Amino acid sequence: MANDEIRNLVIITTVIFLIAPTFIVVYILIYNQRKKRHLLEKQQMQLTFEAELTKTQLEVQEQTMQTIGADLHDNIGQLLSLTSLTLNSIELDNETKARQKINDSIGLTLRSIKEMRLLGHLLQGDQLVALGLPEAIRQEVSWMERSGRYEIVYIPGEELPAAGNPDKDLIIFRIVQEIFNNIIKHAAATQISIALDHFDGHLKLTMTDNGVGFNADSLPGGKAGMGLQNIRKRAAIIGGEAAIISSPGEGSRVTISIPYP
Amino acid sequence: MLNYLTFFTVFEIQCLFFAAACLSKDQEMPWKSMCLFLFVTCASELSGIYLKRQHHANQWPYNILLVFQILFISYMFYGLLKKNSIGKLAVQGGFAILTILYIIDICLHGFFWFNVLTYNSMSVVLVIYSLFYFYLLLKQDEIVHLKYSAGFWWVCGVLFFYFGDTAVNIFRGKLSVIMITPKHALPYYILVVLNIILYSCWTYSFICRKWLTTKSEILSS
Repeated sequence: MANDEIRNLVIITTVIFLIAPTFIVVYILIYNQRKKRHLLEKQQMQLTFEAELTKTQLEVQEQTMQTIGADLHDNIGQLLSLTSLTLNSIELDNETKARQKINDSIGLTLRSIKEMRLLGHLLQGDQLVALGLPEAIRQEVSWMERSGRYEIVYIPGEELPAAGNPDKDLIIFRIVQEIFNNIIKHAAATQISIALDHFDGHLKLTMTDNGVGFNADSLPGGKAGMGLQNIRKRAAIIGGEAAIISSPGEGSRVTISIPYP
Repeated sequence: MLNYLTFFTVFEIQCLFFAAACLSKDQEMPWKSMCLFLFVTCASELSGIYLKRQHHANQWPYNILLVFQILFISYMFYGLLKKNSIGKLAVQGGFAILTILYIIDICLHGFFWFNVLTYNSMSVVLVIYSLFYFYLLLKQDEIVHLKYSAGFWWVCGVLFFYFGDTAVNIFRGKLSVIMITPKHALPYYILVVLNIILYSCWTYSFICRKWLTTKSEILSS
């Protein structure tokens, strides 16, 4: 090899040696910048999650208050009005009839007390979730059953982890409430089934009804569509996904799979 | 006096001034010790020039400087890498190896001949420390504001200088014949550039360090 060639080779190698640290330093600066951006995005996501959690909490409370309001008006209010009417209609001269009406009034009062006690349970709102997701859903189911319009089958999973995840529980509970609302408002169903299952670190919630169903592929843009979008959004926010299967006249099935706990 | 002002001494002395101004009250010993190290560097450099002017062998002051370089730069890296157990061990191991090489060099060539083997090995070891520091920086979860990170800029200086210096040392024979000016060959100018980069990075890192300390004091008061 000629002397010039060797000299050129040496110069090129030296230049490479001199430039290499520049690339290393520039790479580290760029990587650090990206890391910073990634962390900011993570913080933003955490903030969004917390905001969604607060919103869910408020919605659960609002739903509870609505149920309580409706129940006070439609149920306990009616019972107490009936009690008042019965007591007013007592004729003291007719002892047998009076005794009968007093007994009826006692019965109505006892029913009112029972209803009030059930309302008390519901008033606990999000505290209900603290008892565990299966228990919270059970309370919601028993409340739905009381209307007498639905035949509900509830299968709570037996293999659910003892230590749950309160944040996820709250969001799942709100999803259940949202699905119940949809069934009440739009489905005209008579049979509902709910199943909770846990396997491979995932919680699976399946809710089916035999209502009128809808075309799941072309959801309406109105409130009903928004409700289903909310279900999907909420499932996604806790790292899960929601599958909604329905067709007109064939009821609907909502399956939610979430990493749990 | 002006005869002693070369590219090398000017940058070394200005870096020493910045070190004295920024680090003399630093709480951490490795940083504080940089003042002493730069003082020894300046003293060795000036002694070297003096001996050269007097037509004496001027390599022994650089052999003394080499001891301080191994000691202080390893100590700084120890301070920067001590949070990581592998880093801590690597610095201790590197220090032991360099010490052994230095003794071997002295035994083989004596004190008045520059310890090339130790110097080249030290350059490689310091480049490895620097790359390991950067690796830890990439790996850690916390965000570091590199723009104001004293450690980062100090290591940058070391990496630039010793990476380039290794190349110059390897190819010195071939590069020395390339005369840029009648007085100096290519390695001289490369070393001037590397010195400028090294002492600029270090000076900036000292300013960052001072800024950080002042800010901490203000925040804690």
